[in-house]
Amino acid sequence: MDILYLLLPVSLLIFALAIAAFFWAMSSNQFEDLDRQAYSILHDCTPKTDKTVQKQNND
Amino acid sequence: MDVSNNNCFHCGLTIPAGSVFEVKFEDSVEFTCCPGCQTVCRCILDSGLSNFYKYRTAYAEPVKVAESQTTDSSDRNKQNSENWHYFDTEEIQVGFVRNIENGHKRLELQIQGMVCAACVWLLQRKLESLVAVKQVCLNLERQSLRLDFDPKTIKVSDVFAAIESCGYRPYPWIEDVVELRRQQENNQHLKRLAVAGLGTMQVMMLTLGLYSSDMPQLGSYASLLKWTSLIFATAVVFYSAQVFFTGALRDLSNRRVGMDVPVALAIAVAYIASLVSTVRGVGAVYYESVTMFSFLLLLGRYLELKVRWQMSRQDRNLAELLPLKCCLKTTGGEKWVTPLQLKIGDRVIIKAGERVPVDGEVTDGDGYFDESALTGEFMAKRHGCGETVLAGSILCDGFVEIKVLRNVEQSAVSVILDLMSLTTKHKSTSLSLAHKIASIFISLILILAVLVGSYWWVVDASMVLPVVVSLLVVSCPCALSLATPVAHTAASIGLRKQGILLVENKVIDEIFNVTDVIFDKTGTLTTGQISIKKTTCFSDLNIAFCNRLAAGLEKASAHPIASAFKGFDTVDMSDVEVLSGRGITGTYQDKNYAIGSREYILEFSPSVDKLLLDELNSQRRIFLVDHKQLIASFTLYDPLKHDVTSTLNDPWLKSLTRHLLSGDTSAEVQRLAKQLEFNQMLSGVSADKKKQYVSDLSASGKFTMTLGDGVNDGPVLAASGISIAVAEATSLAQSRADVIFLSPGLGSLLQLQQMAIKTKTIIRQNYGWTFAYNIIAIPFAVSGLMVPWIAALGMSLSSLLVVLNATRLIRYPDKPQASLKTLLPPLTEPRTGTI
Repeated sequence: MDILYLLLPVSLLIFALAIAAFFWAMSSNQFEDLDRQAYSILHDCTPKTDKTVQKQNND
Repeated sequence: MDVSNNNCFHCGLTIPAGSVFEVKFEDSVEFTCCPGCQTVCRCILDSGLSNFYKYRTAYAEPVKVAESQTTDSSDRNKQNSENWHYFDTEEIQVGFVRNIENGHKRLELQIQGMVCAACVWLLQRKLESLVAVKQVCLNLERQSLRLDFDPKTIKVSDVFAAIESCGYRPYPWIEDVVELRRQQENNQHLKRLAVAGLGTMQVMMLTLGLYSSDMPQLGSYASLLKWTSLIFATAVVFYSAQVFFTGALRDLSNRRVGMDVPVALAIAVAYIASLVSTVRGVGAVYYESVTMFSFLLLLGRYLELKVRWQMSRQDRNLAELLPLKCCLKTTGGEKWVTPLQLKIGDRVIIKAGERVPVDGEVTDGDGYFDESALTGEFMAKRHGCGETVLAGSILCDGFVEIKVLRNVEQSAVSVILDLMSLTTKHKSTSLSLAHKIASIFISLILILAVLVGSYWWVVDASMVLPVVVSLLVVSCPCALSLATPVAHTAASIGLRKQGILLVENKVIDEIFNVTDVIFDKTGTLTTGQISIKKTTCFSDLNIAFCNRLAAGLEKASAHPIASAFKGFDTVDMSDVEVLSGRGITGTYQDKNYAIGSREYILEFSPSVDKLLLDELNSQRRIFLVDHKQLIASFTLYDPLKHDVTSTLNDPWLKSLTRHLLSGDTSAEVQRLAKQLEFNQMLSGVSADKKKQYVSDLSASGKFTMTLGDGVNDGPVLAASGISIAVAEATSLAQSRADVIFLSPGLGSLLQLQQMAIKTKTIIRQNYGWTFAYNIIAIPFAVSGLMVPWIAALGMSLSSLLVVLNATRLIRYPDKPQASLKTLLPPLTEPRTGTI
């Protein structure tokens, strides 16, 4: 159980790192708009051109 | 999203009878309500952006374009970019365009009309397709756009035009101090939450070890676990829980016992007690309780704040009501300036369709002014030389020159706004029931803690601290302070799902005190859109032909009344002449016809029976004549919203005193009051009088609830106990109201009341549970029988139960909503005498 003397400081360090990472993300505006990103996965990056549609049909 | 055949494919409004504006969407043909929507819809589909219609979760805003502008889509685009040319001058760009690296520029805009993620997608694709646009960053929450572009190949006006072609309205970004502060506050909150959340997890984990270390063989590690917990808890208490301490200090300095006081006290006592026992190496620690309280409370508050912010974001103040630019007449010609630059005595030219920038006196020309945003009166008023026009009103037709009488700050719009902020401050901030109960509760607990502490001091001094802390933890007012706010937050989210925005939580409690309910007429009970109730013939022509004649004449006019004739077939009139503000003449098959008000008709055809006209004129009518005689009269009416009658028949509303206030003087108000069984009716009253009326009611001990729309209702809404803004209300009125109805119709009023009842039940259950729990737990704690960890666990479970119980409100209502069918029904009163 002496390993606790090492593990507990490590958990403190990880805690500090996690907080620092979160604060950094916060200050670089990553939390500015949480609604939009949730939907962006549904949206195609480029509008389908006739070519890609045709290709899909062939498949 | 359900798209029924009767609703516009683009904006979802009911398609007027007889109009055909079709668009091809994939393999089917869809219909839109107006040429504006049609153009925008085509533009979107032609750009290969049809996915917009698949992913959207809300209808787009209706496109308002005068018909003359929409003949051809390419024409329209051209016209738009000409409109925006004004923004290409550098002086105007100060504030929303700035230079960034590589000679590129960054443009910041506010975009009106973005309602869902599909809008963002659409705009993103559209703007990215422009050449020389480097980066597009849209924010749905703030309705803003940040765009980097190369000024050498593209102009600012092109971006504006592109946005408008999709049916959105761009505004230059206005640095909003309130919004900026909110953003910072939001970030602060999230940071506090993160620290508290992570800290709590760590401490919980360590506490598990501590609980087992009660056993003697693990005892040597207890001190290590405690010291580590202390570090985490210190971070949480001093960083995250700081808000509670500052809040408590503020409360105490105001000599109040607010919610923050017990919370801060519990955290402080438990933390200090734990600190002492950690340092001394004996006694229990309560770090897990401390961090958990902090986290749960912060989370609750954050959600509450978030909801409240989202609602008040409607507040876009003056920017929407005043034009962005106006045409200043100078000695050398004309110059575009912003309204703020206008000085008293300047001459300003206003063209049809433009908004009046400042209060002024007409010096040249005349025209119809739509003052509905200011006065709530939908009938446009004619103003000629020497008459005063108000800032924010729209010139419907013609061309006028005005002399500036007052600058923007002193114009009527600003004055109305000031009036509102004044009345807002006058609202009493009475301590709610929740605060009172919590204050009494915490006072009792404090007294009890002192008594119990003294008792144990005499009996067994070593038991004092554990017992007192146990008592404070187990009886922590956490559940109590959560009971009401969480239920309120849940209720506001639940209401939001039903299209009701709850800005002030107190409405949920206070709705039960309401004795008097006050309705505004135009826009609240009625739709605010004129239509024709009845066509009466006085000659041998049939009704259908009269309608066609009238529609043929009205086609040329931009006056609001003309829109009532839109659905009809027309005849082709020649020599049509629109006499601004009076009437229209035209020739059909070598016969002269005229349509207009009583005064105009008498002038055009003096042989018409004057007495008959006078008799008919008691109702709101316009007349169609030829040179000899009266052909027909058209009774105009503003139709009632579809669910007004059923709502007003609700037993709850029936039990209240109902008042009808209207700025309108017509007999229509009287008829309506009788038909809908109002107890009191007052017509032809100004905003000030309305406010006075409501204040008098309040002074006589009544508790008032007011429903209204339009800026002129702002003061009366602010003076009322509960204020409700009805859908399509201008955002100015919305920002001051306690509740905003987003869905058309008054049914929301009943939903609000039902939710209030439900919330009351939930709050009662929460309090019931909390008190029952405390009554059982406190005696155990006092007697020293309660182990501290059971106290902490019991308290946490109690809080959790309270929160979970409250979230049931979010799922309310149990019945599925009747959706589009009830939201957009056909007109309840069929048009009589039409084709």
